[in-house]
Amino acid sequence: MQDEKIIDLYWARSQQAITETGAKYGRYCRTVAWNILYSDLDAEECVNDTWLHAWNAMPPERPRILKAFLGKITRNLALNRYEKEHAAKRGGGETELCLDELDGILSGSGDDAAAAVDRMALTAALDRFLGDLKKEERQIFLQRYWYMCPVREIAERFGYSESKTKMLLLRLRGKLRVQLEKEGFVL
Amino acid sequence: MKKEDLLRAMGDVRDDFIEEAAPPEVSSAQAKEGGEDKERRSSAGKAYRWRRISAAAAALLVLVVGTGVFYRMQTNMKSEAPQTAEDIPDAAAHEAAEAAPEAAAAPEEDVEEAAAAAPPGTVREEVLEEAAAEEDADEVSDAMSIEEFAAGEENALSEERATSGSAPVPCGTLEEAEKTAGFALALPDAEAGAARSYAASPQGVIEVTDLGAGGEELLVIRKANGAAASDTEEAYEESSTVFLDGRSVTLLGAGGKVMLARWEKDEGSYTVRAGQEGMSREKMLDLVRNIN
Repeated sequence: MQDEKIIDLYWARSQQAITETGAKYGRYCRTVAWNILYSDLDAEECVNDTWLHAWNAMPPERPRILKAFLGKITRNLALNRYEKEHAAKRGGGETELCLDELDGILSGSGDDAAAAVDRMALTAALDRFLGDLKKEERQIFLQRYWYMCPVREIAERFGYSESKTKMLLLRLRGKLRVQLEKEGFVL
Repeated sequence: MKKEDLLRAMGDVRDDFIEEAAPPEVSSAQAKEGGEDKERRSSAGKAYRWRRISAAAAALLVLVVGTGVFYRMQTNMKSEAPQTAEDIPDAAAHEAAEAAPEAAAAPEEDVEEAAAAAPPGTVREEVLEEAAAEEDADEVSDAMSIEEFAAGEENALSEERATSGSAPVPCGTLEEAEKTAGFALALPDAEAGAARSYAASPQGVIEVTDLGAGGEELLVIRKANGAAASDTEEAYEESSTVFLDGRSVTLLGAGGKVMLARWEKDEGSYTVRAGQEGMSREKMLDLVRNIN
């Protein structure tokens, strides 16, 4: 079913909206959640919560790209769960590795208490950074830091060696750091 | 700023970027368990189909051969006169000879049964040997008929393709092939020392073949209008899918080498077939990147 029709079902408060969403994007959302949580059960719970959040969001929301809209909800829910379980020393997977890699962008000089980050401004800066990249670079960067895919999988998908992919990600992180500094972010 | 801030902010980037970067919808664990199983099932499924086809062909062969043997047996039993007592030196043989007319009189009986009626060491062995020799001859002749039949079918099919105009015809240059097929094709250069030839059909097919110094096929690149048709059920041991420049490329091969790559893009389907030895994955993907 087309996204427009699914969104119409949400707006009409029809339960079929959930069924259709699950059928079309269930697997996608499960993949997003699984890459963060590495647990089938936790991923499944995140996906179910996604449908609830989507139901509550539409209306008034009318997302232009439903897939990304749902993916963002799932990602946030999964990260929330990850942080909770990480505090309790459970879970695993790529999220910790991604965080460590992104930590490399930060100089560590920012005072956590003082540096209240303007999340929207940061996202806008990331959009500009991503927009300037070549398509393949952008896909690789987001597969790593949005979808939390393992480097080995990304390398295989794009036909590169693992070391080449790691070098590319390193180069892109360096480029992001330079751009954020230029835009005045305290790293 | 904390690393978590960065990770969270990443989550809110443009929707079209997120959609564009979406990986195939199989998680790592699923890829280990289900994906590989999927590939194994795909290969197993293809192997299973081949086994079914082979089993059906074998059953057909047995049926035809068996029918031929039975027919020959009936014909021989009607036409050949059994051995007379004068030809057989001993009494046992004489008895067997007398038993032989009974076999001739009962043309429906199996040769084995007829021969079994005669004492051992005489007519029985001769009859059995003769029947076995005839069986072999029949098997060979019937098998050849089946092969000939299959070859005839294949020839007919080739002729049909040729006369219907769907088979690509040789073209002198790529430009000529593009004009014939009605679309352009961007290609990497041929390897040093390789001879490149072109063929195209007005039905929207271009074929590019690179031959080595010894005339061996190094590479065949094919572009066709429309979705790829599975014209042959090729069973490869290894299969994987790569996401490359916005296209999903299937790689098929064995022993770590890639024999065939295929993908679809902009309403066209592409295949790249390596020579008998196959080629490395990196080399194939380099080729794929440069074909449009």
